[in-house]
Amino acid sequence: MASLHYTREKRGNAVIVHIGGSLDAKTAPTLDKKLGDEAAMLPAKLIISMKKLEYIASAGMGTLINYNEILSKQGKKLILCDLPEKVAKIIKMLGFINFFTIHKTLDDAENE
Amino acid sequence: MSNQLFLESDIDRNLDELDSFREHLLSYLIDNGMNPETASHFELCAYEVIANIIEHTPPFSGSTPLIHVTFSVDKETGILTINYHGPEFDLTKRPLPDIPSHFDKGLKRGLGIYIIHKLMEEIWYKHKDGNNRLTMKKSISES
Repeated sequence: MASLHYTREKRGNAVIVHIGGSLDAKTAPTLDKKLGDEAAMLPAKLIISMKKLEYIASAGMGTLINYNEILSKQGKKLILCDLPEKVAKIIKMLGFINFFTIHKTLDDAENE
Repeated sequence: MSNQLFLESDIDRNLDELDSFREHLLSYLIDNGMNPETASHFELCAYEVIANIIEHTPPFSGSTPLIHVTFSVDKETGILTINYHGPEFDLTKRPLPDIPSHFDKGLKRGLGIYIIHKLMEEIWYKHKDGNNRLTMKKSISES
């Protein structure tokens, strides 16, 4: 059964969200709500670590695209990191890689 | 992959069942020798089409609500076919989103069709007597 795992922590001027499981048509609305709550109080940047993400579908990508733009309008930043190989290959194949700020590791994302 | 391969499933119209099916499809394709990357493209396209049916296309009253899916191989080409009852919806005629503009506007929806066109090589749609059939093909020769 599709499920999304979500934990968050605050470090300095960033909120770090760790997501795992499936980000798809069923779970994307949950992430959408949680990111909406984060965006309202976000200091400067939101880092989403995808280390334990097993699957992403268009609904999940749409949520990330939406918050990329919302935060950009607020002068804040969305950074993706720790993309599993399967997720990275799909995002690259679809040509989305240049539209997101993506770092290989969480450390790199924090230092951005 | 062998031309003898044939997977057939009937999926109820709910997202939990779809999630189980996509995992089953991915395992089946990889276990039978398909390159995992190509297998993930079939997995994602099957998911996108069926999720769209579940969310936007109710079956006609009295018709089966099940979505019938098959996967077969013909001469190094993987063929994914999705049959379902419901109103006509020809996604091959839908306009593709402009991706830079999609990102500029922060749009959430409309990516599924783009993904299917990007990952599959041929897409065919047929509607007859309330039945919709979408066929997607992709070379698997590198598997």
